[in-house]
Amino acid sequence: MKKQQLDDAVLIQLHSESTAKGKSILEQACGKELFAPKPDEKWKKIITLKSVFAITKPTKEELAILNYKGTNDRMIGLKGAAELFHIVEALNGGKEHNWDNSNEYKYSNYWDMTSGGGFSCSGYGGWLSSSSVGSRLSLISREHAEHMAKHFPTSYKLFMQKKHERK
Amino acid sequence: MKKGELTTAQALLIYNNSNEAGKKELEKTFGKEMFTTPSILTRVNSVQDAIDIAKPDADEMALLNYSGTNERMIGVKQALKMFICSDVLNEGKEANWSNDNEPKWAPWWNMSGGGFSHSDYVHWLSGSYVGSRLSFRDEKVSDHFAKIAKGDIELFLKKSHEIK
Repeated sequence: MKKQQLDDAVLIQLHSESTAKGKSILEQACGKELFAPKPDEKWKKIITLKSVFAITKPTKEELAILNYKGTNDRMIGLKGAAELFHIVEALNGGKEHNWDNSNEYKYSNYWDMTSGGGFSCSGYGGWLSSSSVGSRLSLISREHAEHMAKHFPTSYKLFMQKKHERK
Repeated sequence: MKKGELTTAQALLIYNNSNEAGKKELEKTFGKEMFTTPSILTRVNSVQDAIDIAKPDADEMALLNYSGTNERMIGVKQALKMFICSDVLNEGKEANWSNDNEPKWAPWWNMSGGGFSHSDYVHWLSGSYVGSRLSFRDEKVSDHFAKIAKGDIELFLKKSHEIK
């Protein structure tokens, strides 16, 4: 049977766009290693709170907030804040911001708060030395910010919306 | 005789522009207390003043008393102080994000140079970086918050090791 050689980049692209069955065939043909995330892209696998906490390992006192089941709406907002702090830390992979470096952008997400928009991320902002959300809620790249908005809207919702605004 | 009606806001405005006799008339109708209670901006001059008014519950008090070094816990404690200040200073006025004519205010901070200064204000109409819990009903209230809570805001926006 005639064989056609393909560049690794093309194979990786094909893998990411394939069904589970397609992925399995590609992995059998080329080896699983080719498709494993590179060390600096491991953060892309962080898509649930469970995967976040596996990295950040919340303490007992943090779990009391993260598992809050009461009705005090400020506490519910703090549960959202705590989740966001953990997510940012896990995604940024321990890299800290340098607010004195005016060549280093710090990214944060901008949310449509209208009821018509149904709370949706409508973009991100990149800042150099100023902010309204600060270090605890800023991401190290645009890609990180987009990833966080895509996978963790519920945590933002708890932090940013009051009870009567959440639907 | 047909009687006119005054809103509370109109009554306050007239009171501040009346002579003594006029003031007494208004006090008889609306009650003296309405004209003598100091404004929230006069009553709240520190984060502690806001906490005293908000009367936090047991869960919140436990957080406010947190004295450990876990950086994420410090962030949550500071977030609670910010939420309380916003609740108290906004006096129950909730943001209406569907109203494009109603700006929601938040201070903007300069984070560089080892310093921390209030660099600007931002106002949003229907979207935000910070949301309802950290927005203020007008520029004056946002400015007051920035003044009385600067140290606490710095520790909310910066991690402990970033504060010089």
